[in-house]
Amino acid sequence: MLGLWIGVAGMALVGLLAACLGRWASVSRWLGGMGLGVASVIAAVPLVGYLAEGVGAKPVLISLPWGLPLGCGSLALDSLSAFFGLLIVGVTGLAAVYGIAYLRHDDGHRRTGGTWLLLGLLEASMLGVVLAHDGVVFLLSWELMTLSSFGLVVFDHHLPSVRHAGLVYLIAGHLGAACLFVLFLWMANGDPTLAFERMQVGPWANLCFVLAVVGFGTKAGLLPLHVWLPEAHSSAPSHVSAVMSGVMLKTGIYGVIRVVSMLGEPVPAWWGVTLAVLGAAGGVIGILFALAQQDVKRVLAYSSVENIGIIFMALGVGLLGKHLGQPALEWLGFGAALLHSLNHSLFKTMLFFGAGALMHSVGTRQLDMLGGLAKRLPTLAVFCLVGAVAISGLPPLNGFVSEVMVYAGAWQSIGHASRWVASISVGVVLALALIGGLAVACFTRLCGAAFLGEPRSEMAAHAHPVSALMLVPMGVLALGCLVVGLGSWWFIGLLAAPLAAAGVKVAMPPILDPILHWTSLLGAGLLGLVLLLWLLRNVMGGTHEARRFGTWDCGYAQPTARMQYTASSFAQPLTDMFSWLLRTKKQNAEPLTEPFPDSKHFLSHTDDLFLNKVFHPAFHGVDRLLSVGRVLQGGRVQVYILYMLVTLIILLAYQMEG
Amino acid sequence: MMYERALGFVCAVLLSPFLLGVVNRTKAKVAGRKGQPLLQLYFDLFKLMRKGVVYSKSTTFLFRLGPWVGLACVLLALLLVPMTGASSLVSFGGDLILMAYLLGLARFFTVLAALDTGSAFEGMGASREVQFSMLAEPALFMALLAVARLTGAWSLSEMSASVGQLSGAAGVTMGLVGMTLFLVLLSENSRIPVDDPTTHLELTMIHEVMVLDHSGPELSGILYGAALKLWLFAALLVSLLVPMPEGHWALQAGLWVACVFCVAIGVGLVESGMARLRLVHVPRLLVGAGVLSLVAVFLG
Repeated sequence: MLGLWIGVAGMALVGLLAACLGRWASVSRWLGGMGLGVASVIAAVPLVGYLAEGVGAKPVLISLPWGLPLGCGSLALDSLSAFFGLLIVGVTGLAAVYGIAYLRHDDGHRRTGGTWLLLGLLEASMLGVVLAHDGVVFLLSWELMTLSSFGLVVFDHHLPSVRHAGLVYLIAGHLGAACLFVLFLWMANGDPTLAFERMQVGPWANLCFVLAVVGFGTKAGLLPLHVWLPEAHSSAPSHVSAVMSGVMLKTGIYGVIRVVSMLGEPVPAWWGVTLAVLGAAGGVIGILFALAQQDVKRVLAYSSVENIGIIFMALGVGLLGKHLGQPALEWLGFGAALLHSLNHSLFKTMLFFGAGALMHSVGTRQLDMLGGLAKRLPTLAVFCLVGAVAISGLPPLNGFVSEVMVYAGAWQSIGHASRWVASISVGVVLALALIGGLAVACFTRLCGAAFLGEPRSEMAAHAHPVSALMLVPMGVLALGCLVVGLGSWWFIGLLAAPLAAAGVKVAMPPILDPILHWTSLLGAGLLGLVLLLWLLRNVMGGTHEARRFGTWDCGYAQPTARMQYTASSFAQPLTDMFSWLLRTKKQNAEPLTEPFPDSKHFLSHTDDLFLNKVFHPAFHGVDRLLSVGRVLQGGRVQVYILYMLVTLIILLAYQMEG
Repeated sequence: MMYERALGFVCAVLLSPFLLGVVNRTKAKVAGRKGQPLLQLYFDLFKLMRKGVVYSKSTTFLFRLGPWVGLACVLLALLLVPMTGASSLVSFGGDLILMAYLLGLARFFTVLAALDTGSAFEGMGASREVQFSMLAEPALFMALLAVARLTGAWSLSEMSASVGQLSGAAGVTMGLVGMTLFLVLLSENSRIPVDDPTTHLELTMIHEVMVLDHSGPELSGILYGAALKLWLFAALLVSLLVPMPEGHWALQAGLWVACVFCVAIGVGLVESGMARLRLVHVPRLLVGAGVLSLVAVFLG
């Protein structure tokens, strides 16, 4: 436990120090990055030790000296907190090391010391969220998390799009937090300490569930509350986007699991169904929007929406299992949610690091201006390829393991006697199959447009090499993906303790064991077989020379880089098929009519459907409704004094009466 | 018995190029031609392995790795499919998901190898391929789900073993499943009406154009992988729909292989009887297959 305190204090202190030394840019960067990295490692050690104790570990209760009238300053470390805490310190530590190289090009232009303070506060507040054991500590940490990440999102605040993104993020974060305030106050039932162990729900379980889903779903990025995600994640610096996408979304997942475990039994059916339906919709719609984006980071942000959808589908399946009293379903659902949280942290962080490295070496994030980078940046290409295979859920990497667990859970109940349970299960399998196909399309598009073929612009042709400090964290995460994928049969045992702490009091179902063992075995076999075939080819088929020539291109003598498929054209069959959903806006799309046409400028962009069709109209409606009250604001001081006089008279009359 | 289970895999590895020969000979006979030799693909594979190779200057290691990843994935997927009336070499609950995703991994690397060449044609093929596979995969899953609901099993070998005990009322469902699996076979193996394997008009190809720049041993790896994939889908179709009668294992194996060749003859007849669909109609065909399989799920 001491290590945890030292780590947290270290994060804040190192950040403060780096901010104070902001004038000496290089010193501040190295101090901030290395300091946060070391602090994260120090904080990780007790968490690993606690998780290693397994299911038998008792929750560690800590009481802070607390002077405020509300709350009691109590923190608790149990296996679920330790699991999410380990994700937090791991990802943020790697992001801090990555940030040392990422912020280098700002040296001399602007002071970046403040971002280390904000990053340290972000990491400390996220740890506070998962360790909190009373409502006030939780809400304080939550608010600090929102504000520090807001400060990081608006790092490039000279750009109007970044300012807009920051505003959307702040509003969304606070609307979600408002629901959480109501939730904790309601669950406390008048208790001023808002301690979790004394929270009772009584007959209000359904309302608390709705508040929890809306509040935590906004932070996690559940459809339709995800509208802030693409804006914020594409505007923030890449190491911050990695932290936000990798772990900040998971604090929302942690919140849902924690509140659901506090709400206890009995679990109504519609809880699981709602989460499964929203998750499935989020998964499919998220990846469809990802296919239509042209900015690398927006693609990754929408892909986060898709993966959070998968996690919520898994939670829905788990809750359904709780309702039906089927232990296998319950374990598989919650276990898949936890494992996919871990897996998503691994590969999404790595992909955001890759996007940042691309931005640094090429200077642009537009997919249609990249290309051919695998020849200039081979290590980056390999890591991004590993990330793409992992995120598409393909064997032998880790994405496949968590998806197969959700499949297993859904498949168990397809033969259920009740019609609607079977329908939900069939729907989950169908949604996962669709998501799998679309994810393959999306990530072949991303890797293909960015790394393969010929460079489509001068910037891509002259890409700078990527610093080792950016590649090493990516390598660590790639190794993590491979290890979790091939060693899933061992990692699954680590989930037993967090699941028990989350209220899943059943044993691991026996159907999971053979799947994981065979997946790992066949995954290793796949790698070995590919190596064997490669060696055989070089030995047997290498009798003749290999010539290098231009691409065949059906005999074209003068191919150019502009003849190859761009990212938009690659996705065009799919985006056309779903144009009713995506509503891509095109400018200057009319066909050429003149015999000697002048140069034209074509622009297309896909905005978020829910932001434009749901939230903007809703906020404008509220604005119009409230502007009715503007009639009270005449602007004349005499009228205002009259209001005060009238209010005083009414209050005096009421007081005298009472 | 181990050797019964291994027999199917050995048949697949040895006989799959022959399957393509059967398809081509059927098409030739219907067209009134003499046709290529039945063993033509074997000759092609050995010839290509001995040839030199030309690599495009735009390509990277992915181009050289792609065919071998594809071949390895299909070989491992074949381990999971029950053949010759016995169970597969590797069978466990949930193996059908692993099989489908191994084929997805093969497709991932084929598409990347196509995009690696920086050619407009390969990009076009890759773009169409991801669209059609995105539609075909749910159809495959739903068809397998329908069989799972009927038989209560969730391993391919168990499904294949319990198909013989299904009652007559399951006939409609199994018929729909069979149609869906056949349409998925045509789509995944780039047969008419989804794609024309003999066209060399670049704008009408999908799979053919993705491998346009491959040559030599890489091309032989791709052709062999394609033959194995056709055997895999035909094996799935036969094992799930045709219950094998009891008897000696060699007799069962012979009957099963004969059924697979019947599927190949069926593919050849479909290819001879139809033209390739217009590209805008292919998604409708695949969505139709998906709807058929959904109906099968809800009927069962």
